[in-house]
Amino acid sequence: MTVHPKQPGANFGRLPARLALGLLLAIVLDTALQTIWKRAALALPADALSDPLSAALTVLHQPIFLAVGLLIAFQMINWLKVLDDADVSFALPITALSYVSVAAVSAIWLGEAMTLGKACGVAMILGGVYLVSRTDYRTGGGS
Amino acid sequence: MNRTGVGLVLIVLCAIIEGFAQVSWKMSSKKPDQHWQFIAAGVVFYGLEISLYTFALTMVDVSISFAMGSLSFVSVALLSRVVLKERISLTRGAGLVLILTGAALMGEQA
Repeated sequence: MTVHPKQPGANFGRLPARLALGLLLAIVLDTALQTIWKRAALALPADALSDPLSAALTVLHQPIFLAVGLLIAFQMINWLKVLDDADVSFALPITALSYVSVAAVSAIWLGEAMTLGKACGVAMILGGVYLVSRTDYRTGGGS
Repeated sequence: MNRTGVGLVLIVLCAIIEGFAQVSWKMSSKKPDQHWQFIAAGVVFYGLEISLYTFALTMVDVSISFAMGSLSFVSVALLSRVVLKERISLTRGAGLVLILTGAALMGEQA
């Protein structure tokens, strides 16, 4: 149900199980996609950018890129389902938690450094996404 | 420019391209006579973004590149302001400044 929170009839009750599951799945899919995408990118030759054709051929021969494509598709389908049940301004700050989970999983699985600077950067971005999402759903600019 | 620098430039470029993709899709609902042209433009922009992001991932940590992808909030807001004449409220403006600062901090960690 897409009801604007400031309008009468808005939903303030308990989070429906389907929506909670969709939001959780969005974070899990985001995290899996990003970390697997990074793994896939590491399979590309070091000079991939200067030789995009051979990079494209590598992509076609690496099954892990198929997984990346499937995850992008699942992620979009799930996101559209979430938006069937919730406002963007509600869903976006929650799924922004994937900035935290990607940092955590990339540290554990890929051995990326977790620094105080990174943690502060992620915290600022989370706060920024929250503020951006608090704006009304339509601010003018014609129909 | 070293590999990390090129990777960071690619990530910023991806965020700008994402802005064009989103504005194209919004335009598709505003201009019914060119609906499919704008949908197609959005798909092309996304394809380009996915390709460039893959290259960026070969050069930069995913914990940094994914977080810096939030710069697309800034490009979407600025392009929506210029092309679609949407307003940027004070709250949204403050949010965009926070995202810019956070992304710059992440870039510095690369």
